[in-house]
Amino acid sequence: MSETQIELTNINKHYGTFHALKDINLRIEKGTFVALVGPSGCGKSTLLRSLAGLESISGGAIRIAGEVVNQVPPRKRDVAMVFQSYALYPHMKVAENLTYSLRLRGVSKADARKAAEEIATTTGLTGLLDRYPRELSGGQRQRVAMGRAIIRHPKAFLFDEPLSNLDAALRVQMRKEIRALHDRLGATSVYVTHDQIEAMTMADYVVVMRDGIIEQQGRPLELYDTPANKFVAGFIGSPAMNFVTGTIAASGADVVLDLPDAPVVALGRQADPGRKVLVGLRPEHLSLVPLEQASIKVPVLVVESTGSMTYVTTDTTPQLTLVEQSRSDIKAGDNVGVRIEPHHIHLFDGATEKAI
Amino acid sequence: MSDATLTTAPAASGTDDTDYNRPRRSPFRWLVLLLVTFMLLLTLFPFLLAIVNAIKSGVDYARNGPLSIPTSLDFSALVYFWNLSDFGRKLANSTIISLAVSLLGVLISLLNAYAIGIGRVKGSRIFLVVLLLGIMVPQESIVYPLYYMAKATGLYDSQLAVIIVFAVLQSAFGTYLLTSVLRSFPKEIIEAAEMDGANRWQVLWQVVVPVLRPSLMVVGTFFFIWTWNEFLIPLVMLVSNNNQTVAVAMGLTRGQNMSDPTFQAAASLLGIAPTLIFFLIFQRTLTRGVVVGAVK
Amino acid sequence: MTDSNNSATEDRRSYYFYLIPGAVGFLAIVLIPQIVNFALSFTAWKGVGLPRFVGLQNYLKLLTDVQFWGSMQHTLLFIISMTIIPVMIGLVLAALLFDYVRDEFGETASSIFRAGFYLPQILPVTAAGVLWGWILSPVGVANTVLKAIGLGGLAQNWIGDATFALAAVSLVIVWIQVGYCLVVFMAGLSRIDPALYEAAELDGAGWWQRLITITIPLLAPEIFVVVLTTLIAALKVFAPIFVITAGGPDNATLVPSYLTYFHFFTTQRVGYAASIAVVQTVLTVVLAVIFLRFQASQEGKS
Repeated sequence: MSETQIELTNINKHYGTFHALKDINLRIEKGTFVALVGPSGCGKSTLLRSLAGLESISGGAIRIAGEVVNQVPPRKRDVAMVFQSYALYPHMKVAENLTYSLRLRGVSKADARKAAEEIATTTGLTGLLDRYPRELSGGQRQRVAMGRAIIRHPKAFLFDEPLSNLDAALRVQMRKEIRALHDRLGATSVYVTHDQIEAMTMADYVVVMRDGIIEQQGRPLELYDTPANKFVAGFIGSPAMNFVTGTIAASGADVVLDLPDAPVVALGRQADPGRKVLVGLRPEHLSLVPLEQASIKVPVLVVESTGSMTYVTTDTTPQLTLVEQSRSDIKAGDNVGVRIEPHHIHLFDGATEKAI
Repeated sequence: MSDATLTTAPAASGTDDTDYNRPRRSPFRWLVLLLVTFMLLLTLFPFLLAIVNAIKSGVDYARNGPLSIPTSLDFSALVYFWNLSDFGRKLANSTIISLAVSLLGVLISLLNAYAIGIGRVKGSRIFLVVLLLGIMVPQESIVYPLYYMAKATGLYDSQLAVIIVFAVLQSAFGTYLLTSVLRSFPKEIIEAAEMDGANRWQVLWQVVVPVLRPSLMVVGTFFFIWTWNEFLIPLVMLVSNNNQTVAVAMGLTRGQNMSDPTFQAAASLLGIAPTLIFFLIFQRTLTRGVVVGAVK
Repeated sequence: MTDSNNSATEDRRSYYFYLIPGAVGFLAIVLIPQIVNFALSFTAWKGVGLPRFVGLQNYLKLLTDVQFWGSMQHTLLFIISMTIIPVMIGLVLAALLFDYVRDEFGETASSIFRAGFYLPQILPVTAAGVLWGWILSPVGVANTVLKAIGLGGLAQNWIGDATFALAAVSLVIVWIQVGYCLVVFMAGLSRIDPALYEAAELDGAGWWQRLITITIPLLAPEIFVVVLTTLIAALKVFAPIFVITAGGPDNATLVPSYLTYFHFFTTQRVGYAASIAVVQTVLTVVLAVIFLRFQASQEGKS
């Protein structure tokens, strides 16, 4: 059992009357990469900054490497933060930016310079040590921000949406570099992002937050395969999951969907007959089949093709999205048959939206 | 296909683009230039008068009047005034006092603004309001107690007293200015420094001040000029000739040698020359500050 | 809900230490003297020995003091030269320089003009006083010029004659103040969207009309600031009077500040002088509060 590096117990935070964090409990093992993901205002940044000591909390305990750090100021918590805007010191050269924390601790100039050169190699900044931040590109500045964090060998790395200011191509590349660095250093990282793809591809564990609470936490694929409620199901995965209301049939083994012709679909498991449910269908699990073989028959509204994939939007209420990994010759206005494997059907309680 | 040109008259000299579609440059603009230049000359006329007549000999003035160009350069009026008023010493006094106030005032303003603009301490608004009110009221309402205090502490007739008073007074305005600048200082850079291990003092001097340097220079320059020009308090506090400033010396010149016009001109010239030169050198810094809204 | 158990709020408190030098200085140099002065206004004192409490006697004396009321009257007159005229000239000049000169002759030309007009603002007022005292003396440049252009009949003893002294000092004040108004207005003009002028021009508005209907209304914040600050300065005006006329002749240019100085240091009627200073302070505070309220509302808007 690996040791716990960070432990948050019953964290609560109020901004005046606004309850920003509600009884958050989270444990982060040493050496893991944990993503905090959720829509704007869910509290993920607040939680991260509370961990750093940059925000106060109204209640609860924060432990880093076993020690309670509630009363400890940020500069003594031995965690490093990579900011969204990089927050580089504009009047210092790259080398000085990197070694500021060392110089504050009294490390000699020579040793500091050596450390800077090592970090420069690790983060791909060689040759840039004597430049000023304003002379660097966005990606280079990002690397300096990371280098500044790494050079301290902190107990944990905290990332606050570090890639939001980069263009798409650079973002994809930096994602890989950040994860690679994390692995190489054997670090413990907490990574805040609003982009669920980043979270899914980078993290060992994903924590989905909404309105100040943790909706679900677990391995990325767990969240994909077994979301705990409608929100997590709709948040993880792109394009987003389709939701259709329905009622469990009298047999208990099928569900009747609220779509034209009330199609009946096999569930592959038992459920309470007559129960009102919300049925979740991922676009990538819906396949187009000949009309005779289909349990669901729907008209097509829009067909979009990227060359290798086909996106189909149906003309129903609610609209359904399908993704096929191939070309298709269906056109708008066609009636198509849709099929889904029973084990890919997600059921949520009609009222509570929790997974059944 | 060629379009007929829209201009009827040839373009005025000095234009970059062709005059298609521009109304003919009206001769009105020369009238405006003339008017504005006339007003400028009216404004600068006194300066010219002072320069011209300060280097004139008394005889030349008596014969040709104040509006004539001097027939020969005669610096005797200037020398006379300089010696009579011990102007060199006055210059030194003004410089020392203004410089000291400039430095001390900026320091106090910086410390205040750091606490308010970055530290966001509670009660900042009231503090600022009280500060501003305190310096907007007439200096007459504090001059006598200050006079008395100075006498009681033995600081009367000393430059130190004047320096302390003005460092405090100017810093009220300086605090206000620097606070608004520091309020928009990127918070994340300060947080990054905190996470790197810097305490508040280190953050101020190693991160904030280097970035803030241009603003500090603007504020310091203003403090220098404003202090140089101060009158009431130096008049009251610096009673002996040795300690007086240029502004005070000027104030006391009235009534001396009234019937000697070149003397008066020389006195005026020497009185205005230092700040004039200072302004011309630091014009860039000052107008930058003024445009930002730092006007007293 | 109070924030407990954490480091961030405790940190905040240590920022208070940075306010100590400023607060101590302000207390010693401004607040305490203000309070002392206020207290002194209820006493009779010659500066030596102990003050003698006399209640409202000083204030009652003020009510019947001809010199005091004269000085207040003169302040009102100085408002014309310190506020009204400079603001008007400043507006027109700013529009001319910003609109015309800048468009037709370039930014540098307009900057040079602006610097030139601002020059009187940076002089020690006393030096300006000496300069103008010399120009306006009976045998000075002013009268010489008038004679030279044939208006010799208008030559006066500008400073020594009670009828003209106020006007003479006012002229000096206008000369000094126009630059301040000009600079503030020009800065304000730079934030007005040029598209508004273009729209007005297309609608048929001439230069003067554009000035009245667009420029001036949109410059309202700047005008307000300038009017208020010059009003406050008018209440406090001291140096020009001291240097040029010493309050005379025959108290024709007396102002409250000069009267206060006179009673503090010449007649040594310290308590009485303090009461005049208190009156000045109250008036100034009223104006200052209006000003600060306005600033706060402007900040709220932006």
